[in-house]
Amino acid sequence: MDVLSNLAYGFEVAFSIQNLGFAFLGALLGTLVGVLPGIGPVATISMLLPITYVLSPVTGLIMLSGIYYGAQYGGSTTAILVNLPGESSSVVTAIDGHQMAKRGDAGAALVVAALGSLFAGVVGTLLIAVFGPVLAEVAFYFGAPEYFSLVVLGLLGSVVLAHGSALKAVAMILLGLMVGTIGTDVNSGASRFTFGNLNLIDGFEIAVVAMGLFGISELLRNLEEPPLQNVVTRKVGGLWLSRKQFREAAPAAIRGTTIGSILGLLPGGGAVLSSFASYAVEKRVAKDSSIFGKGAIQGVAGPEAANNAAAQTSFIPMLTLGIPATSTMALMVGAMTVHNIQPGPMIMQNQPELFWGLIASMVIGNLILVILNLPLVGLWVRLLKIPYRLLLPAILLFTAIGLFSLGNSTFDVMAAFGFGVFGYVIAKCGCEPAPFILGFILGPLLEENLRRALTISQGDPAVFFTRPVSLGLLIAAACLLVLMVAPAFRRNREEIFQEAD
Amino acid sequence: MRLIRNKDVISGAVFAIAAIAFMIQSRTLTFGSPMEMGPAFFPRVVGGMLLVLAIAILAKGVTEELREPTEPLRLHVLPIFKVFVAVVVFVLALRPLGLILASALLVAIVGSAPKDRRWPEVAISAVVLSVLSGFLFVHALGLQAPLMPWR
Repeated sequence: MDVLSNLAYGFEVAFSIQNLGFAFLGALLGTLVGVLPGIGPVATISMLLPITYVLSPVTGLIMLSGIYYGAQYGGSTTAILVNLPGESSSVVTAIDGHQMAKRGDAGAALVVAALGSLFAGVVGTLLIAVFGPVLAEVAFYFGAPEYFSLVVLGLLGSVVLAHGSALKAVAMILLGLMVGTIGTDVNSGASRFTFGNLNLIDGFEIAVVAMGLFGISELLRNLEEPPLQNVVTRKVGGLWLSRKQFREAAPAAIRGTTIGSILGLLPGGGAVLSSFASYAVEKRVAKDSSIFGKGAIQGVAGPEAANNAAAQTSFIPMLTLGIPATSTMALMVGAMTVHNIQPGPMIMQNQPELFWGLIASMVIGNLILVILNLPLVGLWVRLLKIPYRLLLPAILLFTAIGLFSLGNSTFDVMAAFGFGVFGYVIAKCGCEPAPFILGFILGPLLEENLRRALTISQGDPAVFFTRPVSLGLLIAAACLLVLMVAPAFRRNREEIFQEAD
Repeated sequence: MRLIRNKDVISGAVFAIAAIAFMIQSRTLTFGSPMEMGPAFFPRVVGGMLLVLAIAILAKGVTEELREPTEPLRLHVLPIFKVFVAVVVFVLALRPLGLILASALLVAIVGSAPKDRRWPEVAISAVVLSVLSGFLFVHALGLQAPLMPWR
């Protein structure tokens, strides 16, 4: 088996002391972030991007992904114990998880969430190992027109998952594309929109944009309205499951994993979406749907498995096609490009240690998380009590130093502040930052493939419609747009996001 | 007056200004043809699309606002200003005063921003965080910055 020998190689890479250490550190930081109020995973990953520049690419990515799925776990702990979803994909977990906790079954809820996530995480990771290479194989036959259409699809996918108006989300994509053109044009060597400023010769660094847009603007929002912290310490109860609970939870976790694995692949990624979808499915499948909302264990197991599976499988489009589905994945792409690695089908051939090492580390990381979360749950609950006023200066300070460390330039620090204010104001106007960052990251790729495709076709735009794969991708993108405007879908989507808020 | 504080109007205007600014700036660059795209081709096409959307968003804001008033945009300027001052002071102090003092200043300024601040806490975190960041970033991570005014 090819996959098995590759996985064995991956474990070899992942088990080096350094990689193991940073996987642990990432998982730990992720859990911390998931638990602490007022800092989300995207902000944290952007804060830590500069640090990973010092590490080797494999180690850096292992740590970043550890933060990502660690936050997924940490978020559910607080959702269950204090009814505060640490981040948006654990909103659903809070519904039944917190009811279980109130009933004195917090231990069981935590175990179900952790084991469901572990199961889903391992399955999701194996799916990457099996389907990643297949998809990469397909992507090899992609020419410039196909890539262009794929990027268009990926960008429009981010609209579906953005809150609020689709019109604004598309405008944010376009603005991101524009800002992405700042710097030297690779083709002609002309400098674009740099205003003669030498700091802009290479354009804005991804970490600058991300730290401003996610880190600083989040901080400004929290200053205006401090995050909720109604902590009630509760007895957790025994960390075990009865046989009956296990029998109820296991099928739900399997269904959740299936749903999450599929939705995670979609452009736009689907950790949040899949947890809602899984909850809806569980409600429908259950013999007695009235128990939901009153502490149904299936309502914890399904969504928890779903969001974790989706978190893993959303790595597939990023690793194999180079198309990030979410802002987190966009940051991972940024981390790779800093090391001159172009994510895409070539990665498995040119950087096998990166691909397989990352996959193996995810399995290890998921195991670490169960160990970190279950026995240490008391510690995490105590951390919840740290007031935001103490976190705020630390966050701003580390952001500022991190920004400065990128290129020893104070320009980066001020530029990120500018992006922060922009992000804060525009978010208050109902525009999400995620489509912007995807546009920013994918802009150069989009332009390059547009240029190549049109050069090959002698300037004839019909090339995008006459090649079947490209046409198919564009039709899919058009369908997404139509869906967004369709009134019935719009209503459903708004309802989901209102619940998520 | 009501119109200026409508969220759609503001975001539409922001998009429109950005699109127009990019379009004006791209005048000096060559546009080329689809077959041989110049550096201005992509930005101008994208900018044009952005401008259309911006006008649509703006128009939507105006018509909706005229039909019935919506919740206006409220910005809290003071917190933004405090963070701005903290960042500027940090940036200016970094080279002459060194990382530790600059960090302490940043923490002290931004620590005064939350409504529920407590001064002893601000003082303690200024000391702890600045020393910690000095050791962490300069010693452990090899950041190229002076630690103190004299070195």
